[in-house]
Amino acid sequence: MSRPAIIIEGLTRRFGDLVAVDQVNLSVEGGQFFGFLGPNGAGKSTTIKMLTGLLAPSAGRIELLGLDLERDSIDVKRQIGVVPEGMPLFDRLTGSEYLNFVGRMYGLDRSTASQRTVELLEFMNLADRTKTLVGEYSHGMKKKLALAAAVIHAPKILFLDEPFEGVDAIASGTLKAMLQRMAQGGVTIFLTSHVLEIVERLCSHVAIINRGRLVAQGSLDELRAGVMASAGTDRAAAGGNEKLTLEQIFLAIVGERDAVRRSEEELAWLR
Amino acid sequence: MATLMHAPRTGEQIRLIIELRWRMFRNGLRESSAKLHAAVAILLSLLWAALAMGPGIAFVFGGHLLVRHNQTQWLLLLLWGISLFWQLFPIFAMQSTPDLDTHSLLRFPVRFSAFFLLSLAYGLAGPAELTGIFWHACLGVGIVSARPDLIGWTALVLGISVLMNLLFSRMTYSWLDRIMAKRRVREILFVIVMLCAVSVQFTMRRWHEEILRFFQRGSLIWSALPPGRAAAALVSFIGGRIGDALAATAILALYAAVFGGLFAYRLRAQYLGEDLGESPAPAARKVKVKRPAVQAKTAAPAAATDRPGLVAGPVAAVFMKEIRYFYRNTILLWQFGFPLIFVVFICLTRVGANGSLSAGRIFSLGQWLYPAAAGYIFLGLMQICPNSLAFDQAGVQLFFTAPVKFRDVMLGKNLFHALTIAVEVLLLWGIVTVFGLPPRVPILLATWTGMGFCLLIYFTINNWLSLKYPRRFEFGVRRQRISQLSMLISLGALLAILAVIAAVVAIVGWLADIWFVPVALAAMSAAALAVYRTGIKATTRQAMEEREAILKELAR
Repeated sequence: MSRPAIIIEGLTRRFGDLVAVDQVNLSVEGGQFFGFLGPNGAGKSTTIKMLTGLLAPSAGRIELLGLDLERDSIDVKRQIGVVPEGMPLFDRLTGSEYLNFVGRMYGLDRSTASQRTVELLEFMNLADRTKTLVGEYSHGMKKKLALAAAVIHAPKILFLDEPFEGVDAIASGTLKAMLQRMAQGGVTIFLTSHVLEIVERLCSHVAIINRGRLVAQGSLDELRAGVMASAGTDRAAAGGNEKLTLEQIFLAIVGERDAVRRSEEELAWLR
Repeated sequence: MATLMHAPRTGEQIRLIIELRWRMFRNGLRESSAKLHAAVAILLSLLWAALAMGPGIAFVFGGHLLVRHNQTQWLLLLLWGISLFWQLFPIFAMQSTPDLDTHSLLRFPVRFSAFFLLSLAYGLAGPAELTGIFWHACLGVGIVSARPDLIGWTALVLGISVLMNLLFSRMTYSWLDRIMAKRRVREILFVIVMLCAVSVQFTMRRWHEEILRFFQRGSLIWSALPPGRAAAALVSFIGGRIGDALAATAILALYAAVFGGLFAYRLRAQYLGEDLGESPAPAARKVKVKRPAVQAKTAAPAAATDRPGLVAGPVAAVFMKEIRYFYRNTILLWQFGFPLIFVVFICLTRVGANGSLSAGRIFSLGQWLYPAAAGYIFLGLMQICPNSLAFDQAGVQLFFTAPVKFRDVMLGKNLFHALTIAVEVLLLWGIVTVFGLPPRVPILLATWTGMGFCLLIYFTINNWLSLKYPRRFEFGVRRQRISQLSMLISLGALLAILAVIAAVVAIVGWLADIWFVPVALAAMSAAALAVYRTGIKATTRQAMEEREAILKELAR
């Protein structure tokens, strides 16, 4: 069996007294479409930032494609693509100039960068805006450009932090198809999204982080089985063998009962 | 059912916003670097206060003596001096008070009166404004010390004068922001200003006698404008002509009201949602994308990139990106062009039969114009070099996620800045030659080798500052400042470097021969290159250590 594409051991990140990510251990096999979920402030983006070199861990170890991220950072970064939180774009370049620039930064030669730029702009339906500066793009266009930039060097692992936020339905469908093809081709995709339907549809494996700690990890079926087992007789009596959605799994794991009770009891003045 | 609250009163809204700003300031001080910046800001403010104190004392004594010796006609000059400083200093200093963040404020049910008063209050925060108010007060103290009975009238006139100056500067900036909001307009204005700056000097040179006579005869104009009316009101009160004094005061108040009205008109549009940010470009034409004649490659791993040196792909990529950012950024273009315009101005006004500069002996003043102007060019670099990641904004994340060493990023930026300096120095050579002041060969060589030394040391320090104290800059926004600590260190370093070069020139040129100066400076440049190499290598490690702070500031 081959070594996992992503191995995280004891990953911890502290901000003063706050432990944002606490002793996370995780492994993702090569070619997996992996969903990384959690409520707001759970530590998802902090984890992705550490995995992509944007943030130094306080403790722990990250191994990507068999290489230690801290020791071999350049070799690792050459093989990963990232769409980080926010827009990591250069507003005063055109889309074409930006992709060419990113390609050159990832070590592509001029002609390859140029050729892939043309293909990606056409694929993302941005080819008719070659004279427009990135700063004048709409949010969705920027998101598509950021995705194009993340794949221009044909990475082996792709980290995507909320990649479909603000992207229209047509483009979203195209992008999902592209990502699925990449995963089938052996690319490992590590994705965070608040839209659980997207994760459920795309990802074969999921991990859930809550308050900095990893609270669940496995295939969707494994998570379902775990939730059913822990729910025990309640679920069995209620419906027997119905298939839990990812949303139900997620709420069961991160505390559905608490959330419902709170929403009923609090903010009475809103009614 | 939710209870709908009435909107808070204007005073309450202003109090809330002041409280908010204070809390933001206090919370910002939780970080040690913010405390350091606050300490530097206090230090610079004290320094500035000390500098303002001198003229302030002069205004006290001036006001007192003019009134006591019945020479009140000169009050006009003092009030014009204060007003000109108030309005022009921010332009020459290339900075002003911070602007009110209207976008965040307008989300709340803020009344227009609160919005107007807050915008006005923001105008009080700059050094020019505070100094202007202080000097008005000093002048008032001087007048009242000579005529204590006039305390009320003096306070009234000078108070209106302060208000008029404040409203005028706020009005000017608000309308300028409107005009400059479009990139294309800024670019056109940039060219017009450049042409005007040069042509005005030609006009001044050709017809300066006539122009001077016009201004001397035009005392009526000086007197009719707001500072003139303020002076007339004071003179009349001192002379006991209450009717004239009140009329002049009323005209001064009318000026203030007109400026206030124009400011309110402009502000109203912003209040109603006008966005003065960069307006989007017109829809791009459909452009047929030309496919390069390269065979499509399958997804292959990227080639090796971390070779050091000028040939490495990332260095060239960053260099090209910097060039594109340069010609699309009016502020950078202005910083590039302004020193050259200034040198043209010096040449036009000081060269020739009546001027003080001539291409005489080796130690004549004219011979040293070229190296002096080259040194002045470095001041332009002050605006961006200590903060060279400013315009990369959130894009800076790419430098951390891409397989590049930060050394290559900084090298690309330094090469670009070195190119702009080289082009400016060559253009400068052309300008002084055209005006008949070509430097002699040893001075020319000394200038170039001195520039090499200066650049290498200056880049080393500023690369460190860029990573240590980055500040995000927005495109098209004129009033942006680098960290005051960076400015202080960078300016200090520049002065020290120039002092070292001047000392070398003086000692070697005087003790030995002027031809030894370029040789000495070339040797110093070689040593500086070793320092630079060490410094630029260290930026990779420094960037990794500072990455959290860099991203927090630039990618926010």
